[in-house]
Amino acid sequence: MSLPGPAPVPTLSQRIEEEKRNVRLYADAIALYSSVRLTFQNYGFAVHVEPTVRLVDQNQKTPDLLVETKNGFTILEHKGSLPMEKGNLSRKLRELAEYDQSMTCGNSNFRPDVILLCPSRLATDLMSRKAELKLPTVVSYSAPTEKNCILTLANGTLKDGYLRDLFDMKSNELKLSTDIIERYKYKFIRREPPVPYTTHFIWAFINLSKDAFQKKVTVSYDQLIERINEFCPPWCAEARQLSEGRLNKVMKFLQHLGWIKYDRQTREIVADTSRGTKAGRMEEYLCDKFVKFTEELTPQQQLGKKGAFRVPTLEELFSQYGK
Amino acid sequence: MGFSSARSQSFADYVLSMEPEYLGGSAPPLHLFMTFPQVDLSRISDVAASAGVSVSVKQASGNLYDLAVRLRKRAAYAKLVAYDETWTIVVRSEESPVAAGEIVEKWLANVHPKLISSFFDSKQLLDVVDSFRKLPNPPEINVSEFVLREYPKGPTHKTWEKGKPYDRSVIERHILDNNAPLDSIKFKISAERDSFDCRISRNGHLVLYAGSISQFMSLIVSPMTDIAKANQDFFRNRQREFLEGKIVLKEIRLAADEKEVATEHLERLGGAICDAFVGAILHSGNPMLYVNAIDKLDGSVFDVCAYPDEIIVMPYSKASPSSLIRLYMLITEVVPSAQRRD
Repeated sequence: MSLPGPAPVPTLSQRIEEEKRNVRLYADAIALYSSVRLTFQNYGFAVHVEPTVRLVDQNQKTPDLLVETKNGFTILEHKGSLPMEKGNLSRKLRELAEYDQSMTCGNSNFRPDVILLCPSRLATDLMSRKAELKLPTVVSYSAPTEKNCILTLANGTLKDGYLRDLFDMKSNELKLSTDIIERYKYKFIRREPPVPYTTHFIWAFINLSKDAFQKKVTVSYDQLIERINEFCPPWCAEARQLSEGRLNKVMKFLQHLGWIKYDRQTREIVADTSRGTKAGRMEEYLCDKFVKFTEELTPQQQLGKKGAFRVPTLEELFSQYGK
Repeated sequence: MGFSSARSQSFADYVLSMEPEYLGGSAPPLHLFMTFPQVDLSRISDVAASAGVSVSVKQASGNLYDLAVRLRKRAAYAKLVAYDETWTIVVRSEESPVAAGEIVEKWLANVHPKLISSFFDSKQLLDVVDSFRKLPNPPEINVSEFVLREYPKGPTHKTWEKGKPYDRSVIERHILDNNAPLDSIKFKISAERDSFDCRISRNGHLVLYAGSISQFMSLIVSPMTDIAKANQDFFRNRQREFLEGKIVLKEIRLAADEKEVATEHLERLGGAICDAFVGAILHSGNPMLYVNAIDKLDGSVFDVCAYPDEIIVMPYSKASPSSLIRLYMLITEVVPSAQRRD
């Protein structure tokens, strides 16, 4: 018997495709959370999107959705994809089971019911391996961005009778309410957005400051972050949609593209809005450029590493160009 | 309604002075453009210069101006009538009237969004033709040609069978079958006293070939100016606002007429938006389309969400009417069955 070799390293084009997929899944997750929240709110239940909960050991966690009825609390933890290799899959399911304990959220103490929320095809895969896995309650969804999005109770039962009663007894289905306007008010969730996704929206907000025939636009970093957070309301009071960390990543990437110059001392962004106008599909262009950009970075500079996003000052940039 | 009572005297005098020539059929085609300025007339030369076009404006009398437009080595001379909300540009060129019309059309495209052309959808163009049937003594309507604008192919000319009576449903069927909006329609109105031969277009470019100029002005230009104004007003003040702690969205909804929009047309719409604007397709398929678009001309931003039965445009905190009109024209070019819900 031969041992499995190391996982193959994805090629550049595979990484670009993966980045594009991440962008789409991120937008889909926002649509899904919005619809689930709206549906349960319409029945009079409170729904917290990505709330902070405190466990008995004082550790904090952020479940994706927390539904509160008179009976108690239910966590819906969303997985758009899961590893299919048994060890990794079991580990992911165990992580989910960690929510099955007493916790507090705001002034409420509770022990929630825990549900895995996943796409229909993933639920089908999991059910086919039911014998070898310890599956939690599974609720699947179809076409999260469509008007006609359906939740299906695929495995187990819902402990909360209020929620159970919402599902059709025969089909185990619940049609989600959708409000397109409500859905697209939100642009971010707490989960780290793919940098190309954030970049497009930041670029859109920078463009809002431009006048016709104007190429160069100067925007204040602080005003930009304020404007976006005013525009995109938070899902809950404790989390702003755009943090400095997210914006700094975009600043670095846009500087790499040569679309902006950001002076860290004056916190002023000077953008050339004529850039990117012939990019075609912007999300594809940005994914392509971003993956190539991260390839060039040393491990120390990799995005997300602490300190990696110190944006160089204009003096530093000029001294680099002078070399 | 008399044409001269609705227009300023100097313009009316200018137009009516041409009446004998057009009635005699010896005059060159008269091109007319209805536009909506977003800039003061004194600044139009500067605006044109920043768009790479040379324009000179000189007052002739009252609100009537002489306009000279130069695009590279080509030139067109026109009259501009300035009202508060609209500027009407009249091109009458002896040498090459068709070219002169084209030059002004290109110039308008270059100075957009500072000067916005009027626009009309297929239904509105056909309503104008149909309006003659509602007159007390309906004149004869003879269509000679109509043009469809199929995306991305461009215009397709359709000749109307000679002697065949005008039938709106024939054109509507072509629009639906070819998935292409009506770009222009050329027709002749023949009444006992007056008749005229003209073309009306989706982009507000009107042409009088021959006949009564005063009838053309009162029966075509005046009502079409009112429609154009209403169209402009529809797209005004659509930007997202933040009032009393809440986001107020003034979205634009277009409903699919008759049949649902096919998935391939939704995909094509996504591509078309990305070509004309700076667009990111954040979802495409099964079959909903979600695009975020930035207008590279003036920085307006909007989300476009399209389903087989409905297309929704959700403007951001800046969404100029010119930008929304450009988007609307594009949407209805790619998906002609989409009708605005007023």
